[in-house]
Amino acid sequence: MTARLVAFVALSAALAAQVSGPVAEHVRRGVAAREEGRLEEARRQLEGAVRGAPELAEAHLYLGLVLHETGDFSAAADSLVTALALKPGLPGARELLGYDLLMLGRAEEAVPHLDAARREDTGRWQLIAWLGRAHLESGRPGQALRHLLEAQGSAPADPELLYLVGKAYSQLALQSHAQLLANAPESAYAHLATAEDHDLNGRSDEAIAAYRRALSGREALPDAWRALGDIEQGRGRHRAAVEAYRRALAIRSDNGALHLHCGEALLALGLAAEALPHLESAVAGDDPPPPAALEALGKALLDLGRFLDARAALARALDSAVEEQRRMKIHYQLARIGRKLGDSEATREHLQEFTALRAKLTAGDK
Amino acid sequence: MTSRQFLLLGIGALSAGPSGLGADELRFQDRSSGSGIGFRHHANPTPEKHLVETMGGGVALLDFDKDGFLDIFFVNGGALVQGEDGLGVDRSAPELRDRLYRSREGRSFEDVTERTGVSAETKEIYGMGAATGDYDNDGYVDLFVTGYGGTILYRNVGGRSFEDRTEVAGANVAGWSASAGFFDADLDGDLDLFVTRYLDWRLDTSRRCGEQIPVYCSPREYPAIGSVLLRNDGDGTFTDVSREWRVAQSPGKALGVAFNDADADGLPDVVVANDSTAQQLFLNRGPKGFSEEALPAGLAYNEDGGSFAGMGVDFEDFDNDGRPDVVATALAKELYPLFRNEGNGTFVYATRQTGLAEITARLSGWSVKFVDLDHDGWKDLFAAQSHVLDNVDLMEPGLVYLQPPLVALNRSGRFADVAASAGPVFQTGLAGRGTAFGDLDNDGDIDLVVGVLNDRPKVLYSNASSAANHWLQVMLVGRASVRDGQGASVSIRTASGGEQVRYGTTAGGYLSASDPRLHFGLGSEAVVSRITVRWPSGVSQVLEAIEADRLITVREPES
Repeated sequence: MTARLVAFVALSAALAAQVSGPVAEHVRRGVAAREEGRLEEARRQLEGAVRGAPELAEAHLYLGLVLHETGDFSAAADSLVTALALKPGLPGARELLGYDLLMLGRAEEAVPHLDAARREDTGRWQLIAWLGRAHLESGRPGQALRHLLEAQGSAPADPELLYLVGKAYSQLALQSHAQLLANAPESAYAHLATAEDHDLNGRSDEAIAAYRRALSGREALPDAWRALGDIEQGRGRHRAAVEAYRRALAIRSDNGALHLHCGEALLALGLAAEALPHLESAVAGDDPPPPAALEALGKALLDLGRFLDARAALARALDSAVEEQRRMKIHYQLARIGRKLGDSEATREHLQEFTALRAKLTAGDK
Repeated sequence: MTSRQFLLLGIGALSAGPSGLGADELRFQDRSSGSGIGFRHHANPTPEKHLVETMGGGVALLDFDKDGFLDIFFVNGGALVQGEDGLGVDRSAPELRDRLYRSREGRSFEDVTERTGVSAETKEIYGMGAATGDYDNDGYVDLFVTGYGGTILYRNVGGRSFEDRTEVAGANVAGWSASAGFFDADLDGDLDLFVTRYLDWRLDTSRRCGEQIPVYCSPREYPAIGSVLLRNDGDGTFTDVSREWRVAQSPGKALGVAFNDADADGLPDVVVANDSTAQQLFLNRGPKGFSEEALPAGLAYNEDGGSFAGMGVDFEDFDNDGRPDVVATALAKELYPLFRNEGNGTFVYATRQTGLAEITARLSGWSVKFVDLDHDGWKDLFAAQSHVLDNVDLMEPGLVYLQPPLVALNRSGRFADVAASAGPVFQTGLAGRGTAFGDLDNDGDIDLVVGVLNDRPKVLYSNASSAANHWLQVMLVGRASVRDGQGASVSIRTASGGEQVRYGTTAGGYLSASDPRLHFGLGSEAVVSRITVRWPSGVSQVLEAIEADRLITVREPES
């Protein structure tokens, strides 16, 4: 979202029509200098015009515009406040003042000016976005979000808008969590919110404790069980992970991702026979099955000595795997199976593919 | 050929105590204070965080004076000092010297460094590790010391002192050497020497790593380099045959080395643990030298084809199927890889199936060994531990630098972590590095000496011999084979049909050398019905009906 200010084309003509003599000369030179991009000269000339006709609101507005363009938002705001004091309905002045105040970090002061400007001109999404930003920076994410989403309707890919919308949602979430913690600090949801915050910030010990507190108050929280399982699995505590995934599966028995995670945790414990039904469910749960599920299924079958079945699963995984890292792993597994089956040609081919991919992926190493 | 010629020398018939301890009551007592061991490892870490500073601390257990008790040799680090020619290594201060402690019958130790001449005080070598073996077959164990800046070969002079034979013997290995081991590669009856080298790294090319916070550099920042094979020429000298034996052609980032006969062809093979690159298996092809076969053998990577930070390594039969398996240590989240020997020239990654995935997920290890700590007939697992980065908690919350050692008991091929009940040292974070394994007090069980980076070592005495389980130790004396028995394979069978095998070597682990006596736990078996020794010379020797709870010495027959 770039600053596209209200057109001031008419302003210079209106200004020129109201003055004569030396003031008119200052105005003429100032307008010419601005149009040529000589902003310092424009500023000097318009300051001369303002000194010659201090009652002229349009002169203050034009000076404010030039000061704004030089980046001196503080001086610009002063000029614009003077202009509006002289002529409260001066077109364009409120939008410009609102924007300058926003740039100066005075969002609360900017809101009424941008609000008024918006009543004058409802069509431009930039103005609506500034209003949203002013509300956001004033600590009103709910109001901000309404304006920002309205502006986003006209500019869905604008990076600044995307950023501001995300920030507004984030502030809303924080506000809601703060209310939750204030109103029901020992509720399952309060612990859940705390757990998610810890989890998001990598504080896994604290997250585990908070998830367990949440789940002791309310067991029917499958996402919490899954998150708990994921943390335990990441810490290498596979037994605890399996227990958590099983609790989640008791609620969501047909969830393929849960079956995959549970199967992987069981595999990490070396319990391929127990992992197998979960991994078969994970493969059956999605069409096409995710490569990760097929890969894990292949690994379980390999552990169980079902080499032909393992090869079939891994071949399917290889067909659908796009990432080179995963393809490298699968080729290595297939080479292992080739070794088991005494298929030296397949072993050699897969090791060649593996070696080539590995060389590519580790090319930065010395 | 089978011979029944043998000699039994029981050094004290140590019988089991009156009451048996449960396996979960295995304890280690730290007796380092008051033992007379004043050694403290000095890494002298600098703000520049030169990688060499976080890697050292080897230990060797050797009976240098042949009094029947293991003495302890500690390898020190050194100080990195700015000289006229740039940054160099200084070992002159007393606290920077290597130290040898003579055992007073296993109860205490006396510092004999100065009179035995093994301080390395005049060497410009930043010390790393040690290897032991009787390279001149005179009956006295010799000593080899590795480090950055060179190596040292000490010849044992009649059990009284050591003489530095490095230059005369042609045993100086340039660069940064790490673990080393003696073994008879060419089966000519004398010990050759395999010396791992970590990286093509020099002090003057040492980089600063870490954008915001200085950290020790990843090995990925430096090129690989070849390990070195020194052939014993039988006249007190060595020749570098790394190229002829096809070792130099396979560079790595080697930290650990272990020997055994992977393919049961009677020739000693070599496993090398490499840091963050493929592991290596050098299969001995006799006159053709070595062939590096880790990738086709399934030993190069983990089960997903991923590399790991291989540090220490051991090469012994953990599942009692008669074939040597491989375990290595790695960094947190990489798991300690365990490769089961399938017997057809291939290995299978078995970390998950053996319970090690669950135990080692967040551990970072250095020295590692398969050793029967509770005498139940299954080799357990010990690892000295700590992360390599002393500020890893800043890099990755949840990981810690100092970690207690790992002790995991082998329950018929699956491991169970029993550190919680094994004694206070297993509850204390350490920067463990090298570890030597051996029976310090000759009570029959395996004690441990753990080298600690920049700190005092831990001397840990086991209580296993006070349990009901029986044990046996075998000391080998070669004749046509190397005199100290390295390279021989000893298998035992008990009345109940249980079989075990051990390989004669002092190498394995990380930067360290262990007791040459071969140790077997026997569980409730009070008699070993049959012992078979396969000597490197090709001679097989059988002993029958050997009573347990004793050390026996087996001499190689004449033919």
